Amino acid sequence: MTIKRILIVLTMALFSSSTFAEVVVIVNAGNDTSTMKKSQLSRIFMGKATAFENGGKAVAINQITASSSRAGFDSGLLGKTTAQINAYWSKQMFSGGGTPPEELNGDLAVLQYVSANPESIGYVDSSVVNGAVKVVQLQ
Amino acid sequence: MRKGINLGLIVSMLLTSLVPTTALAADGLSDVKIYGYLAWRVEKVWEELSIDALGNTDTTDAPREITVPSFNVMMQSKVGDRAKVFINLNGSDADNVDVSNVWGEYRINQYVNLRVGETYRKFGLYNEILDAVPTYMGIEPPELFDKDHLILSRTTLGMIHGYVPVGDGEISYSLTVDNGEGGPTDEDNIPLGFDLRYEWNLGSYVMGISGYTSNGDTTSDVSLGSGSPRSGVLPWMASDDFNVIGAFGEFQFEHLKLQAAYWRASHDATRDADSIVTVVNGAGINANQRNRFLIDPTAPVVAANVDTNGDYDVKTWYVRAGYSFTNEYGEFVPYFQWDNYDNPETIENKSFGGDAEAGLTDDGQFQKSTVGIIYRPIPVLALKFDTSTHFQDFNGKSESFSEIRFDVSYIFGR
Repeated sequence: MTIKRILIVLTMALFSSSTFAEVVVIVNAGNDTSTMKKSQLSRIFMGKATAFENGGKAVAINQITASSSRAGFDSGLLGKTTAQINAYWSKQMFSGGGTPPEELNGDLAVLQYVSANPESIGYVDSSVVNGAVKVVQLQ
Repeated sequence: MRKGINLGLIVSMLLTSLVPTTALAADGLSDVKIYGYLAWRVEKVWEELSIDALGNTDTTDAPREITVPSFNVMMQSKVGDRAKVFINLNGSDADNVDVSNVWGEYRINQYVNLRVGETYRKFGLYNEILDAVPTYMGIEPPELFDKDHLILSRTTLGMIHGYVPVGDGEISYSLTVDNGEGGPTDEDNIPLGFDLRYEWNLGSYVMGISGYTSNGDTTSDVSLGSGSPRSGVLPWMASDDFNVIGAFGEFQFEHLKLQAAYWRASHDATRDADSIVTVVNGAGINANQRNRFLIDPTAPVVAANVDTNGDYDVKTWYVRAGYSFTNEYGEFVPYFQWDNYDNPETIENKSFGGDAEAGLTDDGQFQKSTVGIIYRPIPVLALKFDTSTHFQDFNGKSESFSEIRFDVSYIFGR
C-alpha cells in the first residue's frame, strides 16, 4: 500500500513538472555567455544595461503580455508583476527615457529570433529549447 | 518654445526625423518609435465658495466641464548607441499644437549624458511624466506642478545627468540650467536646478532631493493680466530672487505603492507698486490679501500705499497610496491622496496670475483629500474616476467643497 502511494506521488510530481515547465533565459548558440547574474538580466530587460557581462552588446527580446511565458518571467525573474513592468515602461516612454524591448508573439517566435541574432537575449519555456540557442544559467 | 503649430509642420518634423534614421535602420544603427495617447475628461465642482453682496458665504454648483479630446504624440529616435532625439507634441486638434519637449541627447558614458533643447527637468517624482499622469499613471498632478500655481518652471534648456550603480540600486543625478520660461534678469544670472536620488530594487524604492535657485533677481514670464505664470514668479513682482528645495520618496511593496514629498519655495521679492494698485482695484481680492498688499488697507489705493516688501514662502506636501490588483476583467488601482498647499501671496483671479484654489482661501492654505479608482481592461486603455474635497478657511469659517473627475485615455503605438 505504501509503495503504491509513493508511486502515485511520483507520478503526480512528474506530471506536474511537465505541465508547469520553467521559463529559461536563452542566447544565441554562438554567444559565449553561459552564466549571468540575475541583477544583470534585470538591468538588460529594464533598459538599464545594453551589454553582457563580457562586454558584448545585448538586445533584449520580450514576449507579448498575453503569452504564457511572460507572467512567469516578469514575476519569477524580474520580481515584478506585468502591470508594474508596463507602468515602468510608460514612465520611461513618456519622459524620453527609453523604449521597451521588442515584444514577440510567444516562445517559438523568440526562439527563432534569438537563434538568428547573435546579440539577442530572450526567454522561453524550457520545453521548446533546441540546439540553435543556449540556456543561460542565472546566478 | 511652446507655441501653436499646424499639422503640416508636425508631419514634416516627423518625416524629417524618420527619413535619415530609416536609412540608418537598415544598418542596425538606429531606432525610431512613435507613440502617444489620447485623453478625454469630464469634471464638475459642487458648492464652490463665493461671497454675496451682503458679505455672507454663498455656494454655487459650477457647470460641468467636458474637455475636448486631447492628444500627445511622441517620437523617440536612437542614432547609434550614444545619441537620441525626443519630441513631445500635444494639443486638442491639428491647429492647436504645443511643443512640450524637443531635445537631443548624447551619452558620453553612464555617468555623463548631455541633453540640449526644451526638456522637462528632473525634479521630484512627477515633473517628467506629468503629461501622462492625469489619465494614465492614475494619480492627479501634485500641487507642486499644478499649472495654476507652479512653484518653478517645468522645463529647462540644458541638462547633464547620469547614474552610478551602488549595491542593489543606483544613485542618479541631474544638473539643469533654465532661462526658457523665467523672465529676464538684470545681471544675466543663470538659474540652476538639481536632482539627486537613490533607486533600488529596480526602482521599487526611490528617495531623493531636488532643488532650484533663480540665482539672483528675476521677473515673471507673463505680464499682469495675461494669466498664470509658467515659472515661479508672480506677475506683480518687480523682482524676485527665489529658491526651491524639497525631498521625496516612493515605495512599492508588492501591490501597494506609497509616495510622499515636501517642498518649500522661499521668495525674496519686491512688489511692483503700480501692479499692486491694478490688482487691488481690479482682481476682486479678499480682505486678508488687501491687508497684505497695502500699508494702510483703509487708505486710498495709490502706489505710495503699497507694501513693496513681497517676501513669502510657499510650502506644499503630499502623501499618496495606491493598490494594484488584477483579475479576469483587467487591472484595478484604488488610490488615496492627501495634498497640502500654503501660498500666502496668491489671489483667486487667474487672469491676474492667481489661482482658484489657494487664492480662494482666507490665508492661502488648503488641504485636499482625493479617493479614486483606475480600471484598465487592457493595458493601453485607462478609465479613471475620482473625487476630491477641499478643506480651507473662507470668509472667517472652515469650509469645504467637492469635485469629481472622470478620465479616459488610450495609448497608441506601444
